[in-house]
Amino acid sequence: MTEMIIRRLLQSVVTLLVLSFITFAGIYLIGNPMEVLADESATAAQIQAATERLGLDQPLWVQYWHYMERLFAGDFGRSYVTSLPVSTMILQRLPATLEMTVISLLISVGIGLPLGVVAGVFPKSRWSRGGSVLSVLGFSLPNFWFGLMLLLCLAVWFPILPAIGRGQTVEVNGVAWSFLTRDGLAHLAMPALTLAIGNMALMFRLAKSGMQEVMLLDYIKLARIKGLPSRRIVVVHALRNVMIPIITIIGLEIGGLIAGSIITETVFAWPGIGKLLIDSINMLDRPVVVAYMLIFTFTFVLINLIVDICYIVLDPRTREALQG
Amino acid sequence: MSFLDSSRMYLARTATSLVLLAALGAAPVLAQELVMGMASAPTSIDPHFHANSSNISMTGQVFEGLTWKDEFMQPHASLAESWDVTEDGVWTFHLRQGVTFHNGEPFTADDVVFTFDRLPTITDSPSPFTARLADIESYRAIDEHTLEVVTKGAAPNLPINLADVQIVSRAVGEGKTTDDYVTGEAMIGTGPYKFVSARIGEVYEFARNDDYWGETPAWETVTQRVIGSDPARVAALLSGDVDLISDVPVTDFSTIEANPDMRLWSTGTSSIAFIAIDVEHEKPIPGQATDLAGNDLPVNPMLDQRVRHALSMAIDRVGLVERGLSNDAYPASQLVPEGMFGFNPDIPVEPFDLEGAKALLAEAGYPDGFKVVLSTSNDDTMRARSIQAVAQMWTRAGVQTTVETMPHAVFIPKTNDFEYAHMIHSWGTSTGEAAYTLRGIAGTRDHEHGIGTSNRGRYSNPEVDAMVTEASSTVDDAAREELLRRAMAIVVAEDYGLIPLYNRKATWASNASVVYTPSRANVSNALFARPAE
Repeated sequence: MTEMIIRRLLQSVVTLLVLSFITFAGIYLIGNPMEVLADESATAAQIQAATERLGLDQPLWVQYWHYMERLFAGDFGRSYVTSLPVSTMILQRLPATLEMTVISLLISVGIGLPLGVVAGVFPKSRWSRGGSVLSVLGFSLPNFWFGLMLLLCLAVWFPILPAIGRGQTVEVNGVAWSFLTRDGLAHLAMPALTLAIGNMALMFRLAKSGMQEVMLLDYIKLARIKGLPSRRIVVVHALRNVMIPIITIIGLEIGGLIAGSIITETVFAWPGIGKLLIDSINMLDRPVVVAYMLIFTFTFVLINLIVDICYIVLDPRTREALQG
Repeated sequence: MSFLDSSRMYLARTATSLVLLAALGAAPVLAQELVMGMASAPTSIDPHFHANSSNISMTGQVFEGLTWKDEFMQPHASLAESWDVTEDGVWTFHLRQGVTFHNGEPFTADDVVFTFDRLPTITDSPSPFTARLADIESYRAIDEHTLEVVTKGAAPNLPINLADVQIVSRAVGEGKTTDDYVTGEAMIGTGPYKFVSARIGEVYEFARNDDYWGETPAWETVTQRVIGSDPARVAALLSGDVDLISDVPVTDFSTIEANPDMRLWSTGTSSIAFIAIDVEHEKPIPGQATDLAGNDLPVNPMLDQRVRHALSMAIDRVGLVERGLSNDAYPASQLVPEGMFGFNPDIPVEPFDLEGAKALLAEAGYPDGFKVVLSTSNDDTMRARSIQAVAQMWTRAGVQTTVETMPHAVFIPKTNDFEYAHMIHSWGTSTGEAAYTLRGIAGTRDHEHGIGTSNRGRYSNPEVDAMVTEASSTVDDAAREELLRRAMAIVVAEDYGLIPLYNRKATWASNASVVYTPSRANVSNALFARPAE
């Protein structure tokens, strides 16, 4: 297993290198950020001076090389727009996105999965059918629309939740978190729910159809004949088999949630990293965009790795394949 | 001023004066909190990092310049109580006495010298403040409260330029970098509000400066939240999370107007949208102007003044503004809005005349018309909407127009490389007077001297250049304004070198407890907000 983890991480280095170059070159091709950032009345000499100072006049290869040199020294560089270190800018915003993503994942798995299991065990009940209809809605409603409707209902018409922002935060090691305060949690509720809704529907359907299938298999019948209590049959024997595809999907979805958080962040003015990325792309703020891409690619690699480890734990066949 | 004749604006101004009157009579209402929802964040809170209006406006609550600009962008005395100037450009600024920084240290001429010294040291700025000091040859402190500035020739715009240069304290600022401002450590000014804290790009907090030298600041605390999404900003106002929002989307005007607890405040801004036309190339830029079969025309048709005039006549600006832009703008007659220094009241909005446009095109040798490409940036929804309307209007006059739009970050570098011949741009007269505009977008391109830096159609008329240059060294206001008016008339009404389209409005909304004075500079800060009686 250690060997697999090391191999995976090494492969990811190649991915990261290729990706960093593509991102770097892509933004390079759009144009000189100084032309976009500079004052309308700036003279050519001023633009030229700023361009040279940031090394933007050099060929792509040289610029890329300098960037990578600094990167390997652990320095993401400074933003062209704010002149702040990129690492500071990202660290300031990453926690907001992470807590929203994690809470939305907890909501979608915590609600979608048990409901799906119950619906799968009793597929003919009214409950199960109603849930299926609702889950279609959950899939097809666009994220931003759902967010705006929540805003309208819960903040404007019946003002029980705050509309925007992170609310009160608590600093832990210099990083601000909202989920540790009541006010912060109230602010988190709507964005997290908005982000969770599509995923919740997915969890429900996956759990339901998986359960329906598994419940008809011979080993479940055997367990019934042996007289095991139904609870134990469902939770221990059936669920374990259903979980394998679900874990895969959760892994994929975490990535999707982080990337998809951009829309939710915009609707609720949630100061997360997605907003930073969009602003930076619009301003051709290359150091921020490249750093963002690298960090998130690495996150994806890690998530996939964790998913693979989960397989091994859940499914004895993968373990054997690995050893063989 | 017919410019201000929208009833909303009239109400806003009446309300403001009433509040001001009341404030003079009775003790001002104190102990109030203001929460603002802003459409965008400043790029930095270092007052000398990036010269753009949203930065200057936010830090302007904490720091002050020698002068300040009112809502009509006219300069007034601030940290400088008065100034006199000799014929050979020696300015003596008499600084206000008894002013202290937020840390209790007195404000002196040495702090001004330190500030002027600091500006050129900010090296990573995308748009340095040194441009504001470009007229200055030298400066020195004569005594604690007198500053002498020597300018290169006459510099009539010095007071307005100095409004943007916010004074920091030498005692606090020495050795401090932009990072120290961002952490708040160096955010010590003389202004009406003290800096409390900031989470960059998210929320900025300020508190009343009780020792302020001027009128007691209106708010106990000021919180500015950044809410980029339009519907979210409106929802935040309606739900009571914030008291005042900027950049109200036009689609929400009626909802807010119908709500008895909400108020709208709007004004025309300093920003004009116009069409820049390539009048330099003898042959059209490939693909930009073709015959009806799609082959490049042998000669650039835009070189003919009659064609440019016809294109201007073919635009129904009133219709464009009323229907295309939902009345969120005024039709523009020239490159600066009405009421601004240098605005020429004798230039009318070009009357819409479709038949006249066709006749002029025929006279110029294009009875059957031709094809052009019109392009703009789609980051600005107003421009994206107007480009479609203009393209249809031109097509009706026989000039078949294809529209091309793209993000700002793609558009600007391409226009700098002269890939487009017909473009809708917008320009804000941030200095509040027309010389800046005529030099920036209508002056003959001269990058060395910073003239015509945004003249993307390369319009050039030496007569205009001479008048603007002369105006820039004329101290007498009346004579200077006359020169600018004449130059403006030549550019837009004789040469049709640039085609003005519309002057956009800016709108704020608040709950009934706030009175806002909309600023033509389109900036949002607590200085323009007061509690309602």
